[in-house]
Amino acid sequence: MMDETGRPPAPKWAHVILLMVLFFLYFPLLYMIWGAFRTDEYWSFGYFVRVLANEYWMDALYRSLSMAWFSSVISTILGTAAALTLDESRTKGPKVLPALMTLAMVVPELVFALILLTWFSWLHFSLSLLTVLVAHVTYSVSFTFLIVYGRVQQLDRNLAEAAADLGASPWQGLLKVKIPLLRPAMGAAFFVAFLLSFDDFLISFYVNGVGTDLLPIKLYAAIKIGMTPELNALATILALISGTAVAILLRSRFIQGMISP
Amino acid sequence: MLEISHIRKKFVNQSLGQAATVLDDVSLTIESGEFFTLLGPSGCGKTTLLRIIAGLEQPTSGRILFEGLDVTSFPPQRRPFHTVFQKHALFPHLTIFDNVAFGLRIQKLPTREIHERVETALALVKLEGFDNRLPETLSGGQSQRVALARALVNRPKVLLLDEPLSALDLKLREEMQAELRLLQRQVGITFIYVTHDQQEAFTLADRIGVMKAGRFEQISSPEELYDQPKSLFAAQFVGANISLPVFGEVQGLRGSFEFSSCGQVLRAHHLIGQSEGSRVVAFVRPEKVSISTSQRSTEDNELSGSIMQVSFRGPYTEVLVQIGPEAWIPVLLDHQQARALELHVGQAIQVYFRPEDTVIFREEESD
Amino acid sequence: MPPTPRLGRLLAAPPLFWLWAFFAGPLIYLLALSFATKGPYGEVEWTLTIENYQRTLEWIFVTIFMHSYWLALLTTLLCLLISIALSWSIATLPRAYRSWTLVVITVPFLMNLITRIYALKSVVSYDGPAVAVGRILFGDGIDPLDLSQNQFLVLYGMVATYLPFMLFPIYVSFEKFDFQQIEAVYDLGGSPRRALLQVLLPQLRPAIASGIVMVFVPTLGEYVIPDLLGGAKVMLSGNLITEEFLKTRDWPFGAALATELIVFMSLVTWIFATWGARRGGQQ
Repeated sequence: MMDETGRPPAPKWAHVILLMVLFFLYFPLLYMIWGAFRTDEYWSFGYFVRVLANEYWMDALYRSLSMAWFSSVISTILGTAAALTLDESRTKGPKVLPALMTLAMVVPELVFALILLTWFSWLHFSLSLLTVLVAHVTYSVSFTFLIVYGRVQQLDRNLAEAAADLGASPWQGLLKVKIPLLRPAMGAAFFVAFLLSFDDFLISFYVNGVGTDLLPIKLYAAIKIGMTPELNALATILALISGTAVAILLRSRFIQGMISP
Repeated sequence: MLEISHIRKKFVNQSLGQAATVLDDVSLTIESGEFFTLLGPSGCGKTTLLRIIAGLEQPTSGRILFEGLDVTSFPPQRRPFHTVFQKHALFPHLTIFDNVAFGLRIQKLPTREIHERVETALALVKLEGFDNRLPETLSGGQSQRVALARALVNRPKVLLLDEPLSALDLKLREEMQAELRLLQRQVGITFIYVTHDQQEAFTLADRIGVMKAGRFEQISSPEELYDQPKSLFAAQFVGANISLPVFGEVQGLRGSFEFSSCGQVLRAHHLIGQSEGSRVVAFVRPEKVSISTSQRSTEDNELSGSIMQVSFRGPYTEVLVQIGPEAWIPVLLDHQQARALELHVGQAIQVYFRPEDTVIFREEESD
Repeated sequence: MPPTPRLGRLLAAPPLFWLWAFFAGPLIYLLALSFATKGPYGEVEWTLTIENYQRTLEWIFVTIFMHSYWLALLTTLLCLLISIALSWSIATLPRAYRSWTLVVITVPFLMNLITRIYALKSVVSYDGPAVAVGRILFGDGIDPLDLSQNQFLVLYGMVATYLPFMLFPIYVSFEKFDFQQIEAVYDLGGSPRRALLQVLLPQLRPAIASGIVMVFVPTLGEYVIPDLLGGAKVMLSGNLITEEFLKTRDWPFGAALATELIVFMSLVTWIFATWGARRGGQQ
């Protein structure tokens, strides 16, 4: 038996595992969301209202969102510049840059966290939101680089040549031809960096200053104490924000081109 | 006038550290308004030469002079030449109008002039009304026209075309060839056209430069190239051909040669680069060969052989005549003639061709 | 196109500066730190000693590292098996469902880690459904605390976090795979097992290799998952290093542990990168 795609069907157990994975991924999330609405007698948005009115949480949420925004803007710019560098001078380009990017790609979060902590302390940088920003950018820049560079490599070399042939300077060729063509990839890179920053716990945990906790850190501290319906509501809000960013990312032309060829 | 003077180009293979010579001391002068074609097999350096003229590649040594001005060190954007790329290289994110207007906008021309010139250019390539389409919605032939318009709208002094028709199917290619020729006469600028298709070169060019392994084998008009090829490579690369392996000796200006296997004597009027006693090859165009079932007294070269195969080839019939153990000649006949002769395989037959149509070359090392 | 070195250098400067200042520099500093000594008040004394490394060989630290490797190995293996099953299942779905299924699978992975852990904890908490099911199955003898913090939950958390890194490369290979080869195996008399082992898996090798690196390496350095789901029962290398940096504040010793971890990770990466790139893989 063939299905319409001309591929022989997978064994039954493969489909069973797919369903099990979906269950194990979604059941906790759904249970948590249910818990956020549940009160003793009736369903309500009460916990959401309380969380949204609570400055303690909202300050942290605001900080987390702005942190994600600024770090991914910087990361996307740096990653794109690095990707374009390799393209511009590909005959004898700097080998250091791709080597460092590859290393940064493999090194796990924990290593970023501790090397930056010791580094900042050695340089007598006091820990603050600024150090968190630097750390988030460093952590995500290899991802943005990789995404944009993948697209740069697919660019038709003739396009840059055609621009030069029609009188464009290298700078004009960059702004009028390459950057517009890279825009979908840069958008995807931005959202990936956004998610990395917004979801990050460990790096922020290490290099965060006093009194400027981001939301995941506050949530972590609260979980250590105990679970309340209010926390369910807060976690649901966090999941909603990540989920929205994911949805935007997955709907982007760039990702769509990758997963449905 | 475009002068290409002693251009050499070496590419260094970085992983092996070896240098490959792609262009080996190439010189050429192209007159203004000429349609010049660079013809050769892939890897002969024709595209590299075109890219050096465009400024997309730097020569290892040598100079490019345009109207007496040395432009060798100019980047592409400062040369009054524009290129039509093999795969068109239209900017996928820009509309047809914006693609064509690209160069004019770089020059910061006034909006109205840009508009007028783009419309004129699109009219020239018969694409009026395509302004707002995106390149991905165009057919191959339409993309080709946009690429042409995009280059021509900047009024280049020289238009460089890198196998622009190779992506098109045969019928469309022939149409576009006719259009290109017409267009070149209309705009009157120099065209330098790279192709590996000899038929295309004949159709289009005022002059053809045949390239092989980074050198010119021959630079001449299509007629001269066909009738008086200067090398065996040039002779074999253009047109259908017959080459006969013969041993021979040069006897004065009109040589007479002895065919090794059959002992038959051949004469040729065109002798190129052979010395006495060396192994040479005789070369004839198939349409200059005739056959007869009986002996006839003639001044022509005559070979006797037997028919190996008679095959229908559409517009004509091809008869393969074996004239020695390892030698055969294809002869082209029209169908009536073939029928009248009542040819059959194994039949003994005489082959004739004139000494004027026979060219003798030194046999080249096969490559 | 002639290279345009000026523009290239201009673009290279900011990312190069950033990576040197905030990545390569700190990494070198960490290495230097691992040869220093902790002063009486937690400050760093530059002494050039290998004492820190000698200390990492003490049995208590070796067991912690061994346990981390074991858990990372288990996580990687589980991710690999699940990924192959999932990819096979998804790649044979009708085309219209494929990208949707992928999206549905991906969304939870990309959500905030703390959120997902919180969700998991809410399921296993003392009034959660897991405990209720446990009571029904095993009676009242069940201890809610055992359910809410254990090694199985850590493994679950690890797999639920790092699965996509394995799933995506393998799925992409499945998509590219020419399924007529499977039919060819059957046509030549081969069994499904042969099709899997001798035709499919060898062609998935580069994807599997990169998946292994992408899962194994970060799992080794994980801190939050074992901390929140495993309780204080078993320490992993990530927790140990974090303790040394943030609580004990013995930075030189922590740096020595971290350096060993980085060296081991690089080794694993190198081995599998070489294995994946070896001939016989998919072209």
